[in-house]
Amino acid sequence: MLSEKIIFLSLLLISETILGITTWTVPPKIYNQNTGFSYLAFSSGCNSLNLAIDALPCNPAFIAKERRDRFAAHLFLGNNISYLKQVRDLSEGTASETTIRDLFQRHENEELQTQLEVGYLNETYGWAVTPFELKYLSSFQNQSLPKISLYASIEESAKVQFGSFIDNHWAYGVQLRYLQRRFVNSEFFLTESLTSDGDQILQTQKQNLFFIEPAMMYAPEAHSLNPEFSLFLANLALGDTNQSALPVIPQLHITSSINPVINHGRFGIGFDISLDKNLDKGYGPFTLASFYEFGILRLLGSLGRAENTIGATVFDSWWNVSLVYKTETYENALSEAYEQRKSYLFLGIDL
Amino acid sequence: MSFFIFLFFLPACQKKQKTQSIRNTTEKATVLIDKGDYSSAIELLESEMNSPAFTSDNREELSLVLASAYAARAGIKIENYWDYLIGFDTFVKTIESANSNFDMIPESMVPENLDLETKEKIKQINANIKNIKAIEQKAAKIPLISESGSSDILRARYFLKSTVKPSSKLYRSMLTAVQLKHHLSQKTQFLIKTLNNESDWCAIHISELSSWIDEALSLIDDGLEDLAVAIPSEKENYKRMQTDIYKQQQDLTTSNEVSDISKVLCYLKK
Repeated sequence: MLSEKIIFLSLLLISETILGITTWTVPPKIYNQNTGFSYLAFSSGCNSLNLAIDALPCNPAFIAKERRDRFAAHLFLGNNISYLKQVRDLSEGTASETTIRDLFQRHENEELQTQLEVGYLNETYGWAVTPFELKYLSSFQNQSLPKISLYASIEESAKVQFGSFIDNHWAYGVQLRYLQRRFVNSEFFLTESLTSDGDQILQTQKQNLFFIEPAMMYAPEAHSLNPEFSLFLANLALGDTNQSALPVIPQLHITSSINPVINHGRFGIGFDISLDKNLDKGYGPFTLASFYEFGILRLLGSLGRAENTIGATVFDSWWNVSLVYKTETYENALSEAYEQRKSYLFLGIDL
Repeated sequence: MSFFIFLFFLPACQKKQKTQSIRNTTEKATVLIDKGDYSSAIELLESEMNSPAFTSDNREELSLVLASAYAARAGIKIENYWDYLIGFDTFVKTIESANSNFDMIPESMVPENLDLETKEKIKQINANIKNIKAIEQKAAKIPLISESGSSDILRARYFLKSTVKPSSKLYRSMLTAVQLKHHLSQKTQFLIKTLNNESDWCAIHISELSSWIDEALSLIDDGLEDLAVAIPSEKENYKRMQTDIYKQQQDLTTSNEVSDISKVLCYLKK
């Protein structure tokens, strides 16, 4: 009898959650992955590359290959700072006609991300703390009666990576990550925000997650191409994983890369296959990523069916500046593809 | 027991599926509106509205999107009406601030020997025209829609008539303001010409003029009705204004009863 009551209450809770139509489906890549500039620059391809642009490598298995001590502080600015002001003006009713017209000219999945990160990396372990990461994503549709989809979050996170070689070829790495997120996720008509219907629009929700993300790597020694193969289980989480708006979906990354020794500079190319339960809904699991370093210049890029990036970093022994240009492909309700172009700026200090 | 639980939740599951289907429809229609294919959006939404599993819960969102598709086809873009949305009772306030110095029939022109009743009615006509002119001036910022646009706005307002949410009513009141602007534009040019002595006063048919004013007042009344739902804190104010409008409409009806007032006007001008 008790179990039936539990089933009844559970079904009631589920049905209430599903019938509520004030939320929208935020693209998982906005919230459902590790953060940092590397992910923006290489997308999932960063899991295949042994390149620590952020405080820690994307794939914890690579920490086993680290051979230096490094303290890093990074400030990352996403595109469209002015856009944030425009949206704020609109929600406060102080927007001008020009502002609204401007918002509708680039209305789909407009994004802002800003992050501050400090961290330390050692031969076998590393840590990184992100005191704040701001993410803002919105979409404007229907110029006659604007329908606004809005996701805004402030995240604080801390992560620790440790790893080591098991023998000459095999290595392991584990990332433990804690994430605390306060977010707003809603979809509403503009007229709702101007009346009592909009009282719940900006209601803040919380999500606390603890991730355990293991990885294994096979890197055969003394091979001219320096190949690396890895398996990385990301987003394996405990905590508020069943938030209807932001479900946490574990992902298995199968990666491979080569880093051939070349006469001038350093070159690496790799690919990542991301497998999760939503595989059939996306644009396919493959991402190719590559970089080339020469002197103080690093060129980087990635290629996938849903995302392409190209960028450049200028770096010295203690500072670096990066600029990345990104094209994203989305699908609208009529199953038609459309593209979005974004740019990002990244400032870093390494001590 | 589990079987009964299954039966209990079966309708809820069907409702959920229907809600999802309607959500898909409104999403598709919204994309079509963004692409400028308004007629396809209207067709899609109207076919969903006619579906048998349609419930009142779903009506609100479908009606709103359908109304917006008609409004979009009429050329409504929110940025052009932003002033109205953030100061939505502008056209209401106009009634109180009506302060035009124009008299359609100046007092000096009215013969002293005219009976008192007709004199009162002429004053009433002057007052009504003043109000309408003031509203027209206030509505100057609202862009004018075409004749075909007007019938789309009419349809949009029709679909929103049965909605209950404040936000839907606010949108409907905005569309009412657009309709009012269109309505006023049909006759004001003629009136301005008449006032400037460019037109024949004998051509003015008072009953036609009265019904035109009456329709404008009805539109304002309709807008106030919606605003009272949209902004409940101002409900008392809007109700008071509606009472004033009702009084004006009553006066208008009485002025129509003076059958020969057109002839009086024509005579005065000559």
